[in-house]
Amino acid sequence: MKLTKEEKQSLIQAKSETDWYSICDEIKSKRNGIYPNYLAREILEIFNNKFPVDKYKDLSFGQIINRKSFLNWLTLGWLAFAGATGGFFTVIIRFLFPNVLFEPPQSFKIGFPNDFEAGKVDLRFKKSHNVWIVRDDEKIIALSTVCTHLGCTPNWLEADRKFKCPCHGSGFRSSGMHFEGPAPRPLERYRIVLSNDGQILVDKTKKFNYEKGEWNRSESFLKV
Amino acid sequence: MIETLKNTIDYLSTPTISFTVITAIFPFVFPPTDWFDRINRKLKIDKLWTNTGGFIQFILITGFFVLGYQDPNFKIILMKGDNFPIVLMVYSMAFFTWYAMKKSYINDARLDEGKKPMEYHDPEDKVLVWPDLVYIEFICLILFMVFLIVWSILVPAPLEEPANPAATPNPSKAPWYFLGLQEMLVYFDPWLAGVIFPTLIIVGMCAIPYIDINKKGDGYYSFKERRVGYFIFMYGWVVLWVYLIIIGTFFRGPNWNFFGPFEYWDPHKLEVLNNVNLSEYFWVIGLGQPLPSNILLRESIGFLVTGIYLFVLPVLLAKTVLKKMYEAYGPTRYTFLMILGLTMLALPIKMYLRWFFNLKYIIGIPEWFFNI
Repeated sequence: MKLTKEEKQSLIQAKSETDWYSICDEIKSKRNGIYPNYLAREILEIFNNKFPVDKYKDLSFGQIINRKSFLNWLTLGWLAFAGATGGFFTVIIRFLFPNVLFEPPQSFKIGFPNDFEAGKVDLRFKKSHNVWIVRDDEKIIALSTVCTHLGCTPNWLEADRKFKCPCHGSGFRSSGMHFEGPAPRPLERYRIVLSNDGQILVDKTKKFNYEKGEWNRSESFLKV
Repeated sequence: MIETLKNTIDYLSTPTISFTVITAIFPFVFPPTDWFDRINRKLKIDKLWTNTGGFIQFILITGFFVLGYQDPNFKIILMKGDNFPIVLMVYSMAFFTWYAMKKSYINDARLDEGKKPMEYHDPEDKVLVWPDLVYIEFICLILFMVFLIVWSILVPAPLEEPANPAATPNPSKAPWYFLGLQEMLVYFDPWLAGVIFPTLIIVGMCAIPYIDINKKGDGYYSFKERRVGYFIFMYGWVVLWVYLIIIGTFFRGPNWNFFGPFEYWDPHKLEVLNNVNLSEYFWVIGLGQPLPSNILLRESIGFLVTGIYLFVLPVLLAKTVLKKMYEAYGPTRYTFLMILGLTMLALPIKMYLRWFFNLKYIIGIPEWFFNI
């Protein structure tokens, strides 16, 4: 029930705050103690009109700043801000360039053809150069260790004779051919040639992709 | 007895079986049509959302974890610090689903009797944001902080050895909240499962209020007012996201092979998977000739299938089964709903194609990095 006209009048004419609260109690008891929000809002509105408060009293500034000192402070503030931001970004950009960069040479010698056993997958250069060396009956190839699905490093499972990726289960044969899981294309092969001293040279700058029909090109494998 | 139970659970949790069972049960639990609703009530599945039903759900989940803790294999998985949130997630998922469904069923019954929903208030009677709501939020925030701090002290974050490109952990798992995404990546190319699908999930969830503009059921729990929407959303959320996270956490072992929860994680478990592209099925196995060298000709059958699925199917549906819906929704909203719905449906379809036909890609053009 909203306030009646008489109740409104009596609230407006209340002489003091004690008086006010006794009228409020009366209104409440008339409604069996029920005091919903809309009623409270109505009463509060009358209260605010009757006893106005300076809401901003505590917020006003202690001293008045004139135009000149305002500009001075503004300049100082902006300079400080620009300096801090500039310093911050300088440090960030410096952070992007590493102190030490470990990049193994892109082409490297791995030993003589007889160091590699036929039918074996050589894991020695996996850690240092991300390359598997695979020799079968007629050739030696250098396989990239990057899964062609999403770039994890597969594991060679000797018992199953396959590379198996631990991330999404792609599987590759020792030739690099994909046959299970989501990998859309075979592992990439690197250029592999004999150097002048008879050692095998692997050159990672040149890739041979099966899907482009490059696996039968001359330097994509080493005949033995 | 326990061994038989464990073996049964191992067998049932194979994705082919568990996914099919969950998908088949789902419309009976969240009935989208009258027919499903009638069976739901006949089988008393709606009793799941009573206090007794909730208690039974709690006992079943707890029973599974207690049983699992006794098993040496499952205990290792369960006790990993990483997997603690998943256990919490299973409970909270069940609780919030139960809570919402319980309230919805009460409200639906009240509305049938012509009463107002439980959450109904006099529009004049409002609660103030400050301080009433903000205080509650603040208290929740503090309690949650306490919980997180206690958790991080009791269960230290699992730190592993320094990163080494030559030694990928086997299995390599994403953070638990991304395991659903990782599971999708098993069936799709990275640009689809890693870029398009996540984008569409977010866009789709933003689009829900624009696609479903039914004003009824606003501001109170209700199942009946939008049961089709509820069904589709819950299927996408519970089955295609949470269930995949659970699979990724508990059921994926070394080499990303599938293992039952009580199975030993044998890194040499042999699973014969010889995946074949649709083009090979069509040209090599079907027609007995080598793959055409022209890429577009080679993949023409894949383009045809994808084209029919994405462009012809929605039109056919609009003219036949979904005619009423098309008229009610209008072309724009219908198109958006179809794009989102068909993309969502593509995931289970592709999963089944992979499981039963070893189909790798419908369109497979590794030359252009375009695989579907």
